[in-house]
Amino acid sequence: MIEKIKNKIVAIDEVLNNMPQNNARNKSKYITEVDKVKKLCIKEQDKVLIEIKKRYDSICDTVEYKEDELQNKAIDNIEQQLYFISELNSPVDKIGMTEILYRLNHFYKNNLNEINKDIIMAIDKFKEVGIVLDSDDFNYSVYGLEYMQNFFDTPLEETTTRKSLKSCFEKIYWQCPNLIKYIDINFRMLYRKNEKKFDMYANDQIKKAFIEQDTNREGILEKLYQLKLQKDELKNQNKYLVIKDFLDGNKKIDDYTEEKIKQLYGNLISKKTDDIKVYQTYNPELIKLSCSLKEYQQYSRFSYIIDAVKTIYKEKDKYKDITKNSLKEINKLESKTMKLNKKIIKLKKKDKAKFKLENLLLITNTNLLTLNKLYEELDKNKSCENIYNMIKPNDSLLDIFKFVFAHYDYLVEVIKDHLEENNENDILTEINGLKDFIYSPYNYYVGNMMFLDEFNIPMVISDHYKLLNINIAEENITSIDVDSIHDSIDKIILFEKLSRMNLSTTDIKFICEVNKKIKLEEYI
Amino acid sequence: MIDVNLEKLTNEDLLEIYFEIENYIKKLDNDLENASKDGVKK
Repeated sequence: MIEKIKNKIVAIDEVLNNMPQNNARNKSKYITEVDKVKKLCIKEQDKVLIEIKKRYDSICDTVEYKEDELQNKAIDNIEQQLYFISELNSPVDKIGMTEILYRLNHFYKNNLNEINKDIIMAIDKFKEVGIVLDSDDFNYSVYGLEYMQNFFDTPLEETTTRKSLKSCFEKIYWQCPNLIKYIDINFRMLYRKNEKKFDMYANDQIKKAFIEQDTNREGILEKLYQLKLQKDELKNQNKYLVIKDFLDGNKKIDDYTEEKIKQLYGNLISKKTDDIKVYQTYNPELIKLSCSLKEYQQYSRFSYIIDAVKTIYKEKDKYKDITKNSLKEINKLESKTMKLNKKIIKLKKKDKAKFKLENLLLITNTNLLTLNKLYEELDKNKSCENIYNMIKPNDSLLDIFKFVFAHYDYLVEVIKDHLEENNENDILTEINGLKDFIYSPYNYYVGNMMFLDEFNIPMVISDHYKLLNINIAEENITSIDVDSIHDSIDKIILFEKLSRMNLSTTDIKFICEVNKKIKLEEYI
Repeated sequence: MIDVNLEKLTNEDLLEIYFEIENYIKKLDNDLENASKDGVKK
């Protein structure tokens, strides 16, 4: 048929070529004729194009995939709720105060806007609990008090931009470079003073969450798993995304011939067959294998967290009630310092006894530095004490990950010890990665293996799948081979998906070629 | 010019026809350009 059309074109062309062009009249006749043929060709090409477009549209008959924002929001909400209702952390962690204060004390050393934003957030957290703070609450240090007086005098919407606040900060900073650290520990003192109110607030919110979700902690977690599974299922079954991968060149259709897929099965399945349908009966187990491998990869990524907890746990008895002494010392020194602060404020108002004033400032500065150290020590000890109090020998690997995730400051310290560079973004990536891992509905063994046991996880996976006639050696799991196994399984699954979606390799080849060579939207 | 039922063609053939015509249109364009440029052929 193609030959017929080609021959027709040759014939038409011959007629045109034989036309005389020896004078102006003939030439004009020739041009008119060529133009006529051209118009005819365009018309014929349009007919072909309409048929191409019809076929293209029928293959790509699907609506564009868009993430379900409501579903994403629901997932975020439940994840936040799970953090709040966790039995592992205290109200200060639950409401996100630990995170704010940690940032205040450790990050943004050169960014006053971010510092002020965090101060506003911390004040708002107190407000959320029902405690309205004012400048008088920040009398922990005279410098902090001066800054916070300025801060409260500045309209809220201007706190991050107003110049006077910036110049006030700069003035105080040179007298007291630890200003922000002192504001941070001031907040901590205010929290300890109001701990009962925070407890009550947290308990109320937890009760509300259970009523709102109409279930308990396990039920809420199950809801999250279901939402995540639904989301993945929708994505996995989406024809648009499958087609898009080919159109964008992320996948090559030549990798999806039956022969090639059979070869991949042959590498993975020990019982060889020539019947692809028989091979496809292994698909559910191959999907589980893929999940197990991903779980192992995630576990390996975060195993340093387990190691950190294990190290403390081994000598946990050392940490029994360890914070008691630090707290006693803090309370004593705090009350002493506050009394001195009152004296300093009085002397400052009178503007006399300069020598005495300077002497008192020196003492309070030393006290504040000691208090800062004591608070740092308290944080460290609190983490160790929590490990003593909360971790049980039969806790699973997942329990340990959840425990560390529930304690922001400890988590960040562990991450910082692990990462070579302490870049805030890297830390955040690590935290988000851990969150995805602990709330993954595909985890199987991290929730069943006890953290103190020395398991050879690759061996457990390999042995399990060998029993199901799936060839996977221990060394494949621990090496870069794992990526090629994921790739093989992905191809096997997609091959099955293509036939379920009635997408043949010729169809995909056709739309890829059309997409590459014809800009359909320009024509029709 | 094309007296065939396009619906009966394979995807491959359909694309081949499309590009065959496309190339011929380009040739015609070229011929037209030359004819307008050139003088009268003896």
